[in-house]
Amino acid sequence: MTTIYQQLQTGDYDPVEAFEKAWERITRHEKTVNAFITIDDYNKLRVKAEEASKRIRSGEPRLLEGVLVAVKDNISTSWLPTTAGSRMLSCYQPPYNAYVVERLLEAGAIIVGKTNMDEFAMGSTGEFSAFGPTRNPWDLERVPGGSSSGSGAALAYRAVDLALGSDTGGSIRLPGAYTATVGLKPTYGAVSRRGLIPYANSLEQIGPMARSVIDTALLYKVISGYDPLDATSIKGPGIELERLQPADPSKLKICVIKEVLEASQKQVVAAFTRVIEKLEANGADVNYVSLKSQRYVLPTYYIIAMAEAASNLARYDGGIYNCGSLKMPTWEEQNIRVRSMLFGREVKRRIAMGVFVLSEGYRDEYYVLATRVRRMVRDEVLGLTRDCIIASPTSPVQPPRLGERISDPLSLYALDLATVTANLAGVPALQLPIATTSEGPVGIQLMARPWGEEDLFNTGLLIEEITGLRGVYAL
Amino acid sequence: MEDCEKTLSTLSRLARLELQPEDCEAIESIREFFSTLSEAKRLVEGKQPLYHVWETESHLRIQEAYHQVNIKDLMVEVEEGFVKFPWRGKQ
Repeated sequence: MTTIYQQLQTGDYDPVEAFEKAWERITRHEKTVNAFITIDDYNKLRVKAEEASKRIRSGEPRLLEGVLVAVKDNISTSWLPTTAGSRMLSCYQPPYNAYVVERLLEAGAIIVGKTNMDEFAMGSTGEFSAFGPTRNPWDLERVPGGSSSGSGAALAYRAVDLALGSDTGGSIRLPGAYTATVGLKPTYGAVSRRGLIPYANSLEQIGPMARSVIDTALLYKVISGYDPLDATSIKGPGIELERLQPADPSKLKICVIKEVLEASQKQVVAAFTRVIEKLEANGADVNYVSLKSQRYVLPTYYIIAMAEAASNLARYDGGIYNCGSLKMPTWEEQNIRVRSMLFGREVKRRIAMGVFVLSEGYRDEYYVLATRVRRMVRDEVLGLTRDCIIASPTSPVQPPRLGERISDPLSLYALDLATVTANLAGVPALQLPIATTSEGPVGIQLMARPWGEEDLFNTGLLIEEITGLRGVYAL
Repeated sequence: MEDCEKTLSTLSRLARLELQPEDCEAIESIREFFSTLSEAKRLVEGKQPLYHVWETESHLRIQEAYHQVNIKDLMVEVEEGFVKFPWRGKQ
């Protein structure tokens, strides 16, 4: 399967042809899949594709000339609405572009539209969008994972070549695992968060998604870098695409987290073990390790995420964000009414619990304790990743059926068992597909030391060679 | 149940949200789930809280305008006593 990167390198990528084919698939599948909240106008996109073709012909292509990209709807675009999957922002069109969007435009990418997502990125299945759930193109009765549900689904049915997601506790990697696509949660600070509608500042990162490891690396190269206007942005080494190559298995040390494996479904464990055994047979040093902090990562993550969410979402006070449709006699009434009407159930739940863990008498017992446990998690992960790539299944289960986990919040949160650790520790994590079965795809997650993205891509390229799952798609 | 409704009413006030009695079950189960963290207390004795993964000081934006805009130039109309800015909803 030829990757977008290879096509761009060899000059085989034809933006007009790629756009027309993608548009045909969007017309055919979008109504069923619901991967987008907003799709840009056909004529405008066609003109952009023609301009990109001209630029390629004139020998001046940029890094992503004419490549079709989808952007998650919590990333600001000045010419398209940015709703974050919420009724609260259904009329909001940002006055500026996010840093990553500017980088995409500078690189010549064509932004096809804004993808569906769980409201304010709060969800693991893609069912909590105010614009309706996204369906998994591999099995329309199953969820595509969340919260970057539309980005995963759009890639899986080839509506776009690349996509942007955001990952607070697994929101890029779970859709990756459930739609057989690749996704990276970068090192905290590697990609600017300017223009990302905030959910949990200390945990979230914007990241690249694609149908192959090298295309994910290509998009990462474009969007990463220091941004002086984002206080959480950090100067890092970056990656060189030319340097990427499948890792030498004899020099690879893999640490498998026992606790995640024990909590995973049989079919998931079987697919994961097959890949690990092949790596071992090729010379990799495989160790089964226990993470002392693993049993606490979920409550730690959810306490911190909800506390930060309660603070971030306080800005939606019924003032400038309510489309002017509701006018109550007092500010207090307006505030409560608008928030109650326009936030979805899961968002309200998380704000309420965030307020709870920060409230007087409970703060030390919940929030402060969680931040201390976070230190333990981070230190343990940093210690382990010093000389090891941490591996586990990305999700303990295969894609659940639509509605299966919607009413029980704890069974929903359990889907994040393997993914939240990387967000708590700030380290990079890569998801890539390792199997596609009748019950849906299965993914592997690799975690590395901070700024270890290159190691992750190289290990990912090796696993792609083993599984042959490069550039797979559903429809 | 009475306890939960009391909690609900407090949270409702603090979060500025109308919460429904049917949210009680979910909120109670999340609270119980959070309480499981108390088992970790003995493991983190003496550890300091970690609010930011890299513990580096955040670099704040330089307090200077990149370009200066005269706000009066942007005012195109005043509606019901409010200033209307042209970029709202404009492509």
